[in-house]
Amino acid sequence: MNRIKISLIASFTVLVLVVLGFTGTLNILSFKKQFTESLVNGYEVVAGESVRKIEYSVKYGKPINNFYGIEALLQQNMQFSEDITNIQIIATNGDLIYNKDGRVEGKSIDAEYRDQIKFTDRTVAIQTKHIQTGGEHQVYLPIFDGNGKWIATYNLSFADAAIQKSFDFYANKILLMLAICGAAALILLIIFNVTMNLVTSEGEVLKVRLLTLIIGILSITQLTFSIYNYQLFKDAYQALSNQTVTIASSTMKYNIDALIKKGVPYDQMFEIDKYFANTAKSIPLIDRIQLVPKGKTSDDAQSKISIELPKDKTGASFSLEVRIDDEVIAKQLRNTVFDGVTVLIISFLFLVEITMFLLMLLRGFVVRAAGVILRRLNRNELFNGEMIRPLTFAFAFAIFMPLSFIPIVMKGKVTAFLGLSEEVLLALPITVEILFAFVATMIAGALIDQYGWRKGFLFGAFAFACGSALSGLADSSYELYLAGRMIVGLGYGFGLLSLRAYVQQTYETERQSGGFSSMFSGLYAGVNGGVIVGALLADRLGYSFVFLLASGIILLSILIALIYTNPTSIEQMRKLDVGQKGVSIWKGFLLNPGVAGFFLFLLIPISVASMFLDYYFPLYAKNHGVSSGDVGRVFLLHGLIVVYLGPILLRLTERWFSNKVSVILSGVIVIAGLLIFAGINTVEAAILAVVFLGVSDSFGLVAQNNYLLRLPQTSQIGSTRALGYFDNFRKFGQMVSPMIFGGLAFMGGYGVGIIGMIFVVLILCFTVIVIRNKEKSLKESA
Amino acid sequence: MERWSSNIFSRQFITRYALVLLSLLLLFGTSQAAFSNQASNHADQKPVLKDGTSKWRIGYIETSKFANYAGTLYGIVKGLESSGWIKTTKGLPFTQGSNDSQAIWKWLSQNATSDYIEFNQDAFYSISGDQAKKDAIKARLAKQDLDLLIVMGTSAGKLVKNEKHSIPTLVFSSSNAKASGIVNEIEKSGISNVWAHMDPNRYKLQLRVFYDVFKFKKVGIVYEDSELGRIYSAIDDVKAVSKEKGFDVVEEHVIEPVDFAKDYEPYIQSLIQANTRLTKKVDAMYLPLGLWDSPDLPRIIKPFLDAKIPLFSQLGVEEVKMGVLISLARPDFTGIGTFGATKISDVFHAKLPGDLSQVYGDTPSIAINLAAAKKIGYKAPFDILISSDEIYTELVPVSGN
Repeated sequence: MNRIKISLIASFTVLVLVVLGFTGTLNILSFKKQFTESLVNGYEVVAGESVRKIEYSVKYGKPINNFYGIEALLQQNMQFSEDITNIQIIATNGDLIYNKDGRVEGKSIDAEYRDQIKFTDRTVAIQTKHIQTGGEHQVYLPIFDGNGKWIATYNLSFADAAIQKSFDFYANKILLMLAICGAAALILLIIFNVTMNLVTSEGEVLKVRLLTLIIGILSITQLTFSIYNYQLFKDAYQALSNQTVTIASSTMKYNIDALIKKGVPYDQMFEIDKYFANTAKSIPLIDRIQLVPKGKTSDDAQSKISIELPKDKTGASFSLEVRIDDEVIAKQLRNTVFDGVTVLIISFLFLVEITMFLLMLLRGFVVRAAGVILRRLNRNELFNGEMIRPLTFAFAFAIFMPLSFIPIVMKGKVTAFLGLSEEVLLALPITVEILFAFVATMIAGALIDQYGWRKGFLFGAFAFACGSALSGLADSSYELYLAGRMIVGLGYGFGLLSLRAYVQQTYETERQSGGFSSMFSGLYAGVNGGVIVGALLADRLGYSFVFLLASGIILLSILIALIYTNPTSIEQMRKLDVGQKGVSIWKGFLLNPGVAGFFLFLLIPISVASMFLDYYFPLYAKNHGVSSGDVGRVFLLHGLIVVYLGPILLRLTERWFSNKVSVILSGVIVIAGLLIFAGINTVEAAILAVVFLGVSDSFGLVAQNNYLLRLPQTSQIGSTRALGYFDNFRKFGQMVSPMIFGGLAFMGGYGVGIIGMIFVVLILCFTVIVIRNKEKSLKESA
Repeated sequence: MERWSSNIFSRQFITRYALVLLSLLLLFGTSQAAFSNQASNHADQKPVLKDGTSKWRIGYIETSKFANYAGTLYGIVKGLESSGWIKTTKGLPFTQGSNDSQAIWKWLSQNATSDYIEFNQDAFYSISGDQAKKDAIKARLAKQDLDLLIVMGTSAGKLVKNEKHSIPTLVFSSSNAKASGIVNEIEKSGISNVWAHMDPNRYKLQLRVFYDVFKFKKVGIVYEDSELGRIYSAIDDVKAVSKEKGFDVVEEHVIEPVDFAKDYEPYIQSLIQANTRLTKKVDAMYLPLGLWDSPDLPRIIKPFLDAKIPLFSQLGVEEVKMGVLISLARPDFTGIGTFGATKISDVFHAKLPGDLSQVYGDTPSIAINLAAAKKIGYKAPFDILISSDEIYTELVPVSGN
């Protein structure tokens, strides 16, 4: 076996380990999240039954702070599981009223949790809160009086070890399956490596063949693994569902038993059906509860649990039949499938990015191994600027990991700082982050033009790594966290603009579109993967871990930049469009009708419209009962269109249309999406509008980029500076967008229609400017 | 996975939070987080001797024989035992429902139960309308030879309060000590040597719950139309809740016995007649405290059971057991006993009764009689059954029937 084949096997091994390691981690985290939720449901049922009993007693005159029999009730709850560590009743102001040992005087719960467990008065929706703290899980349920007023909170604590103990059984199975899948994939890859030609005799890697082979085999492996996971979760969920229903049944049996012992016959348990109906209503898994004469259990297909009840003093005996809502289980399993598909897609995104990166490295290795390395062939020439994609992927992945929790990290930890309220203090980190990113973008353009993209990127990535590490180490120090987010903002601004400059400074002009397209593909893959992986990891391992991991990943991007890219050479710098000295930004650029028209009539409207996805859609979907998971999947759909459809559509639009037409077309597609939604006004139409937005972004982002770079005014101030303005105008559009959508939200679909119609007018204005400029330049050239 | 992002240049969340921040900055000035740290303030309850050498001498005065008085005394004794003032109460003669306070006192005086407190047999007084006993009490108070008085009931409380003496006096089982003039205020008595247990909301709570369950339009009540009678029956509370909830109160009046041997049976008969008259006028009945003996209760309430009218007992579980439909009252005397023992301990630690807090809400329990429910055709819903602490399923037969 020659060196190339051996190097391929080594690469496959690394690839299988990395990709399946990633997939396995993601699946285990996702599995555990769902498993925990299901297990917590069981404890919520215990808590819910007690709360119902307390509420009945309060309704019949027992004051919550002077409740006869509470000790016995709480002790009874403690008996349900040895994993329950404590049960407390907490006043609405956070003072403890009772714990498992009885009355508590002079103690309050920690301020950190007090705000987290504030409930409103009774609503239709079930209000339950689950908080994990260290090695314990806390379940909080509000207690209402007869008028629906929130009067206290029921708190049940149980050890995380209880979840871990049950989960280990499944985790071991998942890991075993992962090992089997990994071994199978590796064997297949080795077989193909031995039997097929994957490298030409000239040392040229057969990229398409190799890519198809790797992605094909690993995709099938991932799919098999995901199906196995689903089956495993299905079994676990059904077992947990049965356990939950059994707990509920036992609680009801306990109550009925107690009455029988007091001599109450079944025929005097009036309105027991109402009690059953209330119980069933509060536990989604239960469809119906009824008393069935002993020995007469129905034999229909619906799942049910039947428990024998004791004879009453008249000799009557019944069974408690609890019918399980099979549709709820089916729905949960459907959601599990959706979650599985989401995880699969994220794993696929990761697989593609990692495979492409490894292939690039492999090509370098093979070229050297084949002994055909050219003299003076530098890395940049070797990779031909292709490193933009993995570099952007790693950068975006790291940056977006903490996105879902930045504002909530300090919740409960910050109280008073500079005289600001907690709400303001929680919003402040993300605000300073964007402010510093904005400032960085303003100053980075000129510096990058002067010192080259790589120095800018290294500075940005290093700043991000420091800021993110500081955020992770801040613990409860608000000042450190705030400082961390400032530095992250700075790094983000520099890094991002440097990546754009990388394409400009590395690619020849005619190849720049492809470079930008690769950048956007890496970007969207990184964003989608980063947000999901970050959220999942934070759930299990905490915020600090994710911040520190993000620092680690960004250091990887620094290594990629240092090892596989070259700084811009002096020759290249000379060729760079750094602008002319003495040109006024206002007169020479911003006030030019062509530039101003582009920013005002096209870029800002499209930026405003793009927030349909980020701002309007989640609110609209939530109001129409769409789950947050499904909203996330629509975001993912948008990302997939940009990543995978983008390069194809970009090639086609560049072939068929001029840049100006592409830009206008991207705007028209966005507007069409908005108008279709306005006309139909359904969730499906909203999703269709998101698809339109994705299609527009897939080629439009690059087209808009290129349009600006090719304007004559851009060369006067320097292309990187111009791109800085491009970014900031986009940000401006996105900042005002929530106000515009929010202001017209009360009109529903019509509001979006109005926005769409205004944009039609603005795009027409832009079109007129483009036509007039073209006529003018034709006249000048004539 | 709740929050996703699609556009790295947008940082939509940043935008959103920036907007939120701007709004908040405009809307809010400063705010301070408030931390509550409730601290408990317990008095030193360690037993002490009077002047370090002699025992404390306690006296007991009750209005008459009454189950609540005996129960409260028993509770106080148990409370004193828990805090170490009394060594043991093993063998103390008391069963739930007993009205024999004298037996308890006698036992305490004859057994060396405490190293700190002396229970003299001659310091026990049960007035029962006997003027001679009232005079004896006045004479005893004038002697000032007692260190603390435990007084049970409104009538006894008024008597002791109105005499000139400085003996620390703790009054229990008074329906409304403020309304009857025993104390001046609810929180603290306003009189240096007098303290009285106050639970200003207990009867209002009873009436509210009774109304919420049955939603009646007219509620009946029978009581003696005298100052004390109005206080015992909590008529002011009944009327206050009637205004709040919008139902009418229909009253019938009776004369309470003074000479029990002579007046008792006519009193019971007048009660039965008043109740019978009310059955035609009301759709619910509130049964206040009365001077009847427990075995007579079934015949007193029979008219309501026959007329299928729900009946609520002010007293509590003892009467529900005898056939009253429902009650919400203290289940035993542990709570009030512990509270009272704490106050005695405070006095022995040189605190003035007038400086001690008086309010203590008894922990109410729910009691229901399902046989009574069946008799009047009331289908007690399941939720009230699982909330009830005591459920009775039989009716005590009417004596003589």
